[in-house]
Amino acid sequence: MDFRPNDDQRAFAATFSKFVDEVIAPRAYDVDHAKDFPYANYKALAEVGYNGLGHEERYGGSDADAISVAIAGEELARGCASTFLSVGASIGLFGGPLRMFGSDEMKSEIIPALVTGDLVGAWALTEPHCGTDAAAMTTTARPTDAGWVLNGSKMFITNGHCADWVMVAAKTDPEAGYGGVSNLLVHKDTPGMTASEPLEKMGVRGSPTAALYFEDCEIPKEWIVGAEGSGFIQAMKTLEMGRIGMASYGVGIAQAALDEAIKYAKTREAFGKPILKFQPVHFKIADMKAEIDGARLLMHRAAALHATGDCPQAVYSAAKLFATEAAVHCTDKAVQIHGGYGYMAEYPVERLYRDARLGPIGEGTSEIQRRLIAQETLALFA
Amino acid sequence: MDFTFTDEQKQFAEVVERFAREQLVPLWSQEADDQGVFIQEHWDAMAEFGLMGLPFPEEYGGGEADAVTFCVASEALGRAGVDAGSTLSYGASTVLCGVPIWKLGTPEQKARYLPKMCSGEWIGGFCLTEPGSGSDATGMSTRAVADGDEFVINGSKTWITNGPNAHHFVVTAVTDPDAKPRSAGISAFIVDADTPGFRVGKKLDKLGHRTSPTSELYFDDMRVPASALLGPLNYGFALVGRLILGWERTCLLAPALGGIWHGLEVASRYAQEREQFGRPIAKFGAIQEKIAEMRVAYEVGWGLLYRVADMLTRDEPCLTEAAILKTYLTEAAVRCSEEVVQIHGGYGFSKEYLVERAYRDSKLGTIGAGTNEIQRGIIARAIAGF
Repeated sequence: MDFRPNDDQRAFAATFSKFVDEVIAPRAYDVDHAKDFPYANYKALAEVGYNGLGHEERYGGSDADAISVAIAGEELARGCASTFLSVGASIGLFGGPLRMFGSDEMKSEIIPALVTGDLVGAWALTEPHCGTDAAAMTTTARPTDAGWVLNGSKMFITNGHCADWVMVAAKTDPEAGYGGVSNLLVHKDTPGMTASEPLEKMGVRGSPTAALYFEDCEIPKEWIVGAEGSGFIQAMKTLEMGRIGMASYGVGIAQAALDEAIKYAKTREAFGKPILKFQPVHFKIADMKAEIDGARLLMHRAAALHATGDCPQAVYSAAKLFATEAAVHCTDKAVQIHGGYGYMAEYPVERLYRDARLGPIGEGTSEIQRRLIAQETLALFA
Repeated sequence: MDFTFTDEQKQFAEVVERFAREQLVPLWSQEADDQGVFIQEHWDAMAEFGLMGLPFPEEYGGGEADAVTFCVASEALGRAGVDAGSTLSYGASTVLCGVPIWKLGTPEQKARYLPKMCSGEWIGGFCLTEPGSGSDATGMSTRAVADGDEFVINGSKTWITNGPNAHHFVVTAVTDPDAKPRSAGISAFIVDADTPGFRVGKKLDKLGHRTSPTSELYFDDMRVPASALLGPLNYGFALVGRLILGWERTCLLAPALGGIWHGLEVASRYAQEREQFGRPIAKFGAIQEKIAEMRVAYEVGWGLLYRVADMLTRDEPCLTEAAILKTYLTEAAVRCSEEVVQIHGGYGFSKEYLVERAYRDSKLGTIGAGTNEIQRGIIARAIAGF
C-alpha cells in the first residue's frame, strides 16, 4: 500500500497543472461563450502531449498509465470543463475503443491525427428515446454485400456536428438484444449523415452537443470496429475508462470551485472581517475539501486498479457517482459563498455551477451507477 | 500508487475477522448492553489473541504491526460485528494510553506499563476532557504543581473511557497557567488508579457504546512522582495530541469503517430475504439506492482511512487528512446505520436485530475525539489559512 503518486506522475502533474493555469484556464470564459469546439485548446493540448496520453507510442501517443491520465484529466477539467469534455470525447470515448478494438488500418489512419489534434472524433450511443437503457436502441445497420446501410438517429452527441469521424453503435442484428449491437466508423462526408446545429444547453457550452441523423448511409465493410455483435461489450469497456474520466471531471470542477471559494472568502469582508472567519463559511469550505479528497482517492484507486485489471465495478461506479455529485455540492456551496456575485457570469463559479450539473447525468446517470453498485454488493451477500 | 494490501495483511484480516465472529461476537449479551457492563471475557479473548499490543515493539510483548496492519485488524473487528463498546475500550487503552507511553515514555515507563498492557492484564485510559472543557481542551483547569520530587494534581475529568476499570491513565494537567499559547503549559502524566487522592466518580449512563464503561475522575491533592511525567514538562499535552491524533482517527475509527461494511452485509441479507409485494425488497430501486449509498460511503471512507494509515507508516504529518477522515467517516457511519435500521423497518427499531445497537453506537463518532465542528475548523484553517 502506498497512496503517493510516483515521481514521474508528480512531475508530470506539476508541469501540466502549470500549463492549464497559464493557457487553458484563462480561456474558459471565452470557450463557454463561443459555444464552439475549442480548437485552439485542442491543438495546444496536443502539443503538450495530453491527447496522446492514452494512446500507443507507435501512433504518436505516450502510453501513459491510467493514473496519469486521471491526474491530467482532473487538472484540465479544473481549468476548463468544456475543453475536458470535448477533448475527452474525441481522444477517449472515440479514441479509446478504437485503440482497444480497432484494426491496425483504422488506427494508423486515425489515431496519429487524433494525437496531433488534426482530427476530431465523436462517439454515438445515446438515442432520442433511450439513454440508460442503451439496448433499446433502434438505429440499425443492415448488412449488404459491400458493408452496412445505416439508418436511425443519435442524441446528445458531444462533438457531433464537427467530428471528422463518429463511432456509431447500431444494431446489426435487431433480434439479438445486447449481442446484436456493433460499432461502425462513419466519416463526416458520408452521404445521408446529417447533424443538427449544436443544442442549447445549461453548461459545458464550449463543448458542442448535436443530434445525428442517418438515412441509408452506406458504410464499407472494413469500417466495423472489432467483431460484429461486440458493440455493447465495447461500450461497457469504454465506459469503464469513461467513469474514471467523469470522476476526473467532477474532481476538477469541485477543486476549481473550492479554489474560487477560498479566494473570494479571504477578500470579501462583512461585519468588519473576511467572511472566511465566519464558521458557516469555513465549514462549507471544510465540507468541500472532505468531499473532494474522498472523490479524488476513489478516482486514483479506480485508475490504479484498472491497470491491474482487477477493479470491482462498484469502485468505478462509486468514483464516477461520488465525484460528479461532489462537484454539484461544491459548486453550489461556492456560489453560495459568493452571494450575489456567485450568480453573475463575472465570477467563474457561475459557470462551474452550470458545468457541474452534467456530471450526474452524462456517461451513465447516478441512478444507473447506484443500481450497478447495489447489484454487485447484494450479490456478495446473496 | 498502490491501493492494495499485502498478502500477509489480507490473511491477517481474515484470521481476525473469523476469530471475532467465532469468539467475540457470541460473548456479547443484551443484558450486558442494557446494564452497561464491561465484558471482561471479550477483553481477555482479544488479549489472548494478541490484539492488545499490536503496534508495540516485540521486546514489550507487542506485535510490532505497522499502522496499516493495525487498522486492517481493527476494521476486521468491525466487519465481524464486534460490539462498539468493546472496540472503544480496546482503542482507548491501546491507542490513547498505550501509544503515547510507547512513543514518548522513558525506558522505565515503557518497561513498567507496556508488557502488562500487551498481555491485557492492565487496561489503560486517557484523561483530557473536563466538565468545563471539551472542544476547548486547553481551557482545562486541572492543575499539577511541582513540589520537590513530586507533582500535586488537583481537578476533575469526565467522559473517561475505561474510567472505572483502568489500571492507569495518561492524565493531562496545567503546569504553567501563564503560558501563551495555553497548549505550551500543559503536561502529561501517567497516573496509577491506586494513587492516593485518585477517585473514580459515578459511572455515566449513555446512548451507545454501553459495554465500554465511562466515568468521571477526581484528583484531590493527588501526589505523583516526577518520574510520572510523560514527555517534556509543559509540552506533554501538545506532543501527545499531535502523536495520537493520527492513530486515534485511524486505528480507533477502523472498527467504524468495518461497522459500515457489517451493516451493509446485514442489510443486504435482510433485503434479499424479506418479501413485500411478492418479491424481495432488494428488488426495489428505493432499497437498492440505500445499499449503493452505503457501499459508496464505505469505499470513500476506506480511501480516507487507509490514506492516513499509510501516512502514519512513514511518520508523515497527517493532521488535516485525519480531520477529513474523522469528519467524513463518523457522519457516514451515522447515515449508514440509520439506513440499515430503515431497511429493517419495524424489526430495525426492535432490539432483535442489533441494528438498533449499531445506530445508537454510531452517534459517538461525531462527538468524541474532537467534535466534527472542531475538525471542520482544522480542515478549513489548513487549506484556507485564517
